[in-house]
Amino acid sequence: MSLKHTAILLVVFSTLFSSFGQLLYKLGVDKLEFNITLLTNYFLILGILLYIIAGVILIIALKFGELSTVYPVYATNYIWVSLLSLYILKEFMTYFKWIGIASIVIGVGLLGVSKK
Amino acid sequence: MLVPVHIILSAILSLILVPIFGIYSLLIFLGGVLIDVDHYLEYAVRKKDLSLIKAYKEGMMFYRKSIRLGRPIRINVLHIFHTLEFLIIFMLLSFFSKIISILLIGILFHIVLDLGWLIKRKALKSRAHSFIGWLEK
Repeated sequence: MSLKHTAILLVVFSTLFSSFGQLLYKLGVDKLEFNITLLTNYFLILGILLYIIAGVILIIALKFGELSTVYPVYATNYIWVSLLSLYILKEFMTYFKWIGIASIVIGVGLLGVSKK
Repeated sequence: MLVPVHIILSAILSLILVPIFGIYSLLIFLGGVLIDVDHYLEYAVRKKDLSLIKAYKEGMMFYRKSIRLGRPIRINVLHIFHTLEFLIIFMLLSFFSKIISILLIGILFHIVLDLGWLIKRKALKSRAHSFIGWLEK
């Protein structure tokens, strides 16, 4: 059982949770009003909770792995947010956006290789 | 998301991770699947009936109906293992045990899939995400 890999996997899930948090922020912002309804904005509240969970998962991951190993994986956040925007918010993805995501994937991969 | 889909996806993730975790990869599968036991518990408590088959059939009936109507049939249903409080307890325990940290990966995988599914189907309110929040309602 590899602790380093456990840490990396946990970071991946941390990024997934924070991505869902951002998605919910976006959904919540559409209903945003600066009055008492702010406290009942379900999407915003759930988004904040997901962010907190993401933070705690990251802390657990750091217990099992080094910061320099674990943190680059956090960049996968951009990938999940782009995919969620595409599939759930139906936002448009340009070729340049895809190239950007591919660069992140390649960059994270290179960081992983350089650690070995 | 349907239990068979969770079983299949958790099995796939578990198999992918066998080279890394070895036999412990089974824990990811278990974490990803056993969390759904609370669906049965919710049925058993609500109906006072221990039949697993009836629980599954009722779940499928709700699922098909919600798909047909395009909205959740039930609101704020408590599935205790899917709540924030359960997740917090599990996350705290994973600080002390490697085994639980691997189980946690399966649970997080399950919750991420469910979240995606619920958001996609605009059914986030169908589930109580917090036990305390559920008690207050």
